[in-house]
Amino acid sequence: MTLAVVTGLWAAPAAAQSSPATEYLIRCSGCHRADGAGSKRGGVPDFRGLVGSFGRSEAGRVYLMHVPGVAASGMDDAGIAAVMNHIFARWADAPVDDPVPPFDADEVARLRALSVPDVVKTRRRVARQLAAQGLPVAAYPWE
Amino acid sequence: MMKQWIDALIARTDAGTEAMTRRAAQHYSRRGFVGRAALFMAGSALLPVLPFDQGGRAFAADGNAPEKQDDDPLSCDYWRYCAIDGNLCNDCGGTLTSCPPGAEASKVSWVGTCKNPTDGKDYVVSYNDCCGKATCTGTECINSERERPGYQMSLHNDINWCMANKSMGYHCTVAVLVGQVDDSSPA
Repeated sequence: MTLAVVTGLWAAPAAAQSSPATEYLIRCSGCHRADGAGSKRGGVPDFRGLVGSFGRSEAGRVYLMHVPGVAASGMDDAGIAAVMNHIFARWADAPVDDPVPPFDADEVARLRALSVPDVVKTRRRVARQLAAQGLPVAAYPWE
Repeated sequence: MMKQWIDALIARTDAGTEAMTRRAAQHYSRRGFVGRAALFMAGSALLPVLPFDQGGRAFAADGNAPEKQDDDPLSCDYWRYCAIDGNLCNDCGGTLTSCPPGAEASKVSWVGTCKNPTDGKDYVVSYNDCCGKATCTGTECINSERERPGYQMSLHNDINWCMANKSMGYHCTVAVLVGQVDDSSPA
């Protein structure tokens, strides 16, 4: 009986999450802006027509799961997947017959568990790889 | 990682401010009006940049938050100001949602969620700072709903959100509704 009460106290119901569009507004738009433009001066990457490139390679997808907005989002894996897919849908500009592969909770969990000690170095490396494949990425000032 | 990002952003702000200050020092005499006025502005413009300024927090303690109202946007208990930290632009020559003349809206902002007491719904509020002028002397409000200073810098309303603007002097803050919170769980 006591054990049930104790575990009951810990099993708080998961907070209902809002739609991916609203979660983007609340958690991402402050820096990436409601139109996805980011801020060149502030070093916040522009999504428009560019963010999809990272979704097209394993290394790019690992990077996406370690950017500050994802790492510090506080969302669960399914929520992160939903917001990432929303971002792809709005700004990847992918052809209809070649969409960016969507995230799901399992992949988010797997990639987030990988260690990425220096996300800036990682991005620079990934950007070079994508450029070699002709995939454009946003301007990025961090060294 | 987040700390590195914010540190680098603040370092760029410092470098930019230093460059601007040097240029101004070379052009304006200390005895002239502009030189004297600049001294006053520099002092007051620095205050909102301190990342952990705790001024006024006694009023934001749990259980002490005032009842929200939907009638008077010049009062700190106006519902949209639930997480505002700064001077109200509508008391500084601007409006609830637009900057006073001569000040430019911040490129990045702190985004909060506030409940409207009239319809009981939660709204997403973007607290853009207005930048490029000295801090205005309008009504100052500090509320902190869902703010997370230190834990998550992107949820920290004390920092200077003018950091990504060409001119980074903090002038005042607006409260723009950018959406309504819907409570649908993800599929």
